[in-house]
Amino acid sequence: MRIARILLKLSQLSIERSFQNPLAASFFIMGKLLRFGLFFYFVSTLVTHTKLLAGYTVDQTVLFFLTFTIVDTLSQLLFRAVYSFRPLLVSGEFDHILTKPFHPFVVVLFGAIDILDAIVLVLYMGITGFIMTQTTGIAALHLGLYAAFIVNSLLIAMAFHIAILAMGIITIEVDHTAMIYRDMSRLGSFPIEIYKEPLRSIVTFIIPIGIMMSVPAQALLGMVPAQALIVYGAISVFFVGLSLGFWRYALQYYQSWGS
Amino acid sequence: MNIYLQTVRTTIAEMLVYRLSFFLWRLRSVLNLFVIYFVWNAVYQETNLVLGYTHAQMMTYVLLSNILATLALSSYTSNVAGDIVRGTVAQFLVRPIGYFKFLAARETADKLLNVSAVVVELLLLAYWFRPPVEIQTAPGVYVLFTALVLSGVGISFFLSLSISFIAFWSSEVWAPRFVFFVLIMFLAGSYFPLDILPNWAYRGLLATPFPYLFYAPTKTYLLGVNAQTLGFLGMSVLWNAVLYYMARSIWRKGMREFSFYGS
Repeated sequence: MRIARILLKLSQLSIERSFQNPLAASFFIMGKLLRFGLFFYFVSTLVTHTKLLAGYTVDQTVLFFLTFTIVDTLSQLLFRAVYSFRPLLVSGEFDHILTKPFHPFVVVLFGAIDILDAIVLVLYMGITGFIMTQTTGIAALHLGLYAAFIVNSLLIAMAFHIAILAMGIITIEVDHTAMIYRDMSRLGSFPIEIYKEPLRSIVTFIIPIGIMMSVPAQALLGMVPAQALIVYGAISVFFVGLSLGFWRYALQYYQSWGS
Repeated sequence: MNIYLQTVRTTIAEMLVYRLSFFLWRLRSVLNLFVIYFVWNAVYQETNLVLGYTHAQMMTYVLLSNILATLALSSYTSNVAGDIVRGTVAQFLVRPIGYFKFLAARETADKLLNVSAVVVELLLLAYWFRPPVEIQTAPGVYVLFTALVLSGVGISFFLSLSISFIAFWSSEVWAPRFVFFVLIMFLAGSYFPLDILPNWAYRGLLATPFPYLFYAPTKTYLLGVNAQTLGFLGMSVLWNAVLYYMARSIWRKGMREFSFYGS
């Protein structure tokens, strides 16, 4: 309960910071919408002209893209604090966070939700809902599985972000690592079937972008059985465990500000 | 040695000190190329002609525009905003150098290093995936292509510099730069050739500076020398002049208002 109160306070502060400069906030929202709109146009035009992409129809391909957008936006919304980790490390501020009587993830992982992403997320979800109504064969079970797999994707996203934090402690490099994660996850903006081997296996099993971005959309289209949730859930838990191990290992290398 | 050549040398040496950063930046570029390459490859699984482009033409377009995107996006000018906000730009003003020339030298070093890396990356990707590509034999194409590339680099330099100069009036430079990046990625033609857009949108875009960054040089490489591609060069040079004067006038206006306390 105490942690929830701290998180709530940090979130309030983060929202206030976002709107401190309304012009900058509107620029960011405009940029996000522009990027989404132009990419959406690109995907739909492309598949409209070719009819099929790796065996998927226009609506199905668009659902893959929208699912990627939702997972990506949700993870940006929740884990935005990671992008501000480097200044904490180089300034020594991280010392103060480590000495606080709660887990450092409260601040460095969840401590700065991005309200601007929450605003655009509403639009993305609305469009996804509309496309779902246009796509035949989506049952209530598929919707339930879709929601469950998106939660599973967020677990994997969390594992990636913890690994970025750990990497930051060891190398002081956070920005590029975070952007590499974003670029890697962008591989999931299209059905994973478009990639050739060995890249397809790499992005499915070694770096689980496929499980994170493609599997929810496949579940929505009825291509993934409910039992797969156990297997994919286990894989996500494994990756979270791995990233936590990496975090603990990295903390041993943290040298502190020391002055 | 010429002071600006020395600046190029020291900038390259400086960038090579931060090898991990450079490697990660290049890795990002390769990952972006993967997405576009595989998407277009999947599109051509069913047919050899999509939106008027053959498979080889599209692969050439995608690979070439990726090199040009590296040229445009690897820019030192984004640091200028930080220099203005922190006041460190003042130290350049008291030195016996032209600030624009100094920036151009830094920019040249940045681009030289990035282009060297991207050529190696593309050779490795070409060896690995063996994509079909179009090879032009007419020397005139290469002359016009090179002129358009250099002109496009100038456009991106002055555009990016103008955005950084916003820092004279506001410390929130990252937000407009984010919009600038989004616009460049789509409207300059790095994801798809711009002539697949509806005609009215394509014509409208040609009146802006964006297509002259990647689209015009790459399309010129594919089409060869003709009235349309010579027109691209004319527009590109015109935009260079306009953006140069724009950047210079913003700089002068900013300089008149710039003040900073020394310690």
